[in-house]
Amino acid sequence: MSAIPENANVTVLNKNEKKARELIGKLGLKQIPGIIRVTFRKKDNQIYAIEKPEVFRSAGGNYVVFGEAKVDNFTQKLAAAQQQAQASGIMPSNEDVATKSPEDIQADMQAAAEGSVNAAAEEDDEEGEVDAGDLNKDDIELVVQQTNVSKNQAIKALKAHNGDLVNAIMSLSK
Amino acid sequence: MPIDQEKLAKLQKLSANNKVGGTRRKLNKKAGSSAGANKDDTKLQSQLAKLHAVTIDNVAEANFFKDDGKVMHFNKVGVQVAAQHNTSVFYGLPQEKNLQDLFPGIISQLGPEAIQALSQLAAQMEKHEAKAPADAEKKDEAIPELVEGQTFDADVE
Repeated sequence: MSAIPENANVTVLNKNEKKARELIGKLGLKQIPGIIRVTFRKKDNQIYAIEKPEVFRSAGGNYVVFGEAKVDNFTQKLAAAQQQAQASGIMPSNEDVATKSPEDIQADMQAAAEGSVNAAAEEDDEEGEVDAGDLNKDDIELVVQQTNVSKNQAIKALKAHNGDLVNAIMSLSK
Repeated sequence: MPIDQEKLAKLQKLSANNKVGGTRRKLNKKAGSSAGANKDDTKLQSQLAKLHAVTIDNVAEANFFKDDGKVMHFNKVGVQVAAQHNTSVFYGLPQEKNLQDLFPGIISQLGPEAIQALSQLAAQMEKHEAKAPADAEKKDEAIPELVEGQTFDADVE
């Protein structure tokens, strides 16, 4: 059995998967192109991901996905991606971003609105060093879950970025 | 007008071989049975039983990420997985949504190819916040300041 080089555009199906495709292929499924990732989340926030899926739709409206389902760990993957980006120099600087799509502008406006609200809240409460202040508790819990840091560090990061979840998570993950 | 008896006999011979009604009945029967079976997905479930598929409990949501940046989001979903055969089945009705609508809960489910896009999005947000005070200053210059007590009656004819 020869070794397949990395990033080769080859899909190797094992014996069981061939059998499954043959069985389910007889039911007249319709293939849906253009889906690059399938994930589902349990209620205990455990996430399963199917990379490079092949998605079919059955006549009854349900979806059959062929591909290996793995347990996903976002924090480790984010840290690895950050290191890889810094090593290869792909990390974008602020000046590289010149054009914006309407959806990005909408997201920016929402973030700016949240920032102004949180800034006004911070002016009212000057003694909120460790206290959460008016920050949303769900936001703090989300940052703690995603980055595995203590609650105080999460609060500091959120305040430093005016309650912006994305920037807080990115700064704590570095 | 006299009828040619020989031609009439030939036509009757040819028409005896055709069975129009029977053909139609057969076609209808086949189509009906196959359509009925497929709508219920009973065959799919029996095939999954052969593959020893396991129903996963307590699934909160599922997302299918498309290459055009949109997401097929299942708010309520039932999942069956046959791990040895690398096969999964999702039962539910998806809604097509934009990626921004599902923030921030979707961040943990993004793949490695989306992390760089996320970095760019964060950079855009920072840049936008830096621009905001400059716009405020420009806005003030356009409007002249009003001086209290000054009247403009002399300018009115």
